[in-house]
Amino acid sequence: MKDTLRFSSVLFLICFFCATMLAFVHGVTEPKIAEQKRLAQERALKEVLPENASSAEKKQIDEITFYEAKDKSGALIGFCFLAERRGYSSNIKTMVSITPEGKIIKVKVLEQNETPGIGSQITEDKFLGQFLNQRFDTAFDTITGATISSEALINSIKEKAARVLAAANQK
Amino acid sequence: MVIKNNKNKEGLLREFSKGIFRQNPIFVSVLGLCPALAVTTSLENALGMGVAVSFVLVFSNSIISSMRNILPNKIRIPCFIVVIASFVTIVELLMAAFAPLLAKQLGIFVPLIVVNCIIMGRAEAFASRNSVLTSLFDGLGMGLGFTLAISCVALIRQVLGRCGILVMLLPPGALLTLGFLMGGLNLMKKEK
Repeated sequence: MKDTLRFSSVLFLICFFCATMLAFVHGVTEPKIAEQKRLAQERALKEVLPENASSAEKKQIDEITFYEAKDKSGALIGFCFLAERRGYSSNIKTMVSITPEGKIIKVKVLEQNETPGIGSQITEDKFLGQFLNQRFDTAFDTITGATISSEALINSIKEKAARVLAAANQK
Repeated sequence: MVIKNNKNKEGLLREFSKGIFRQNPIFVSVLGLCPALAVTTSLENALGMGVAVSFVLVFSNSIISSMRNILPNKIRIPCFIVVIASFVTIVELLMAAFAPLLAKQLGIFVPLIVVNCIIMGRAEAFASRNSVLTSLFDGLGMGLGFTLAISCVALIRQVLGRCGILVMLLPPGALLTLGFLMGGLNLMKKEK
């Protein structure tokens, strides 16, 4: 009984000390982590925005989030959106921009952890180049040996592009 | 007094240097192989992992050593784990705030430092029996030894992988590299 009390009080003290320390570090780093996340998203958005775009506005229609890119005169020149799907060994996340007619302007892979040297080929220009200026529902080529990774990326883009265009036209 | 000081300094240096060669955690004790195999696809990752592990080792060693006289023997393991897990969480938060790219690259292997046997092993075998200062130097040395070892593996894998031997970047490459390095080191020791 005496031991039980001693053990639990020692463990309690240690946990209390650690929790205080963690709370402090969390308080310091939380705003910084949020800021980093925002910056990363913004950087990705900037990279896929059409060259003549001057503004990007976040829109949310029926749980589908996308960005409307407009040029200087305020005319709509494209949409940007995040596409995500499970690949072979990780979630493949891409940032994509398309014209209002559904032509793909640019594709950038934000996150992937596919097999290095095999699935990771989906980040190479050789693969991503085929999307440029094609309609999103074109039959794109997959990569030999990395069918699952490349198919996941292609399908995630096709599906999300169709949904974004539908949502945007509905409005 | 001077002689005693010198002896102390030498002792500290010995504790520091043993982690690098004589008791290198990877090549001699063969501990903490999970990160050594998993994150050594690039030198950058290996260095990041090494710094993170060293940070946790130094702090957990110092804290555990300073508590060694009040820790009841029967519950020492849970106490160690609470301290270690806290420092790993701190590293994780700091990394996400100040080095988000590295944090993304290392992914799950940062939280997994909690169950890294080097840290647990040093807490149990060294920090719980030695003074704060020697434990701190032990942590530094072990951390540096670990960093050097996984950087070696990463460098070899990255260079060979870039040269077109793809298998070196896949899991078998890690096992092969580590095996050959370890074999080579043992051979060198034997010939001495």
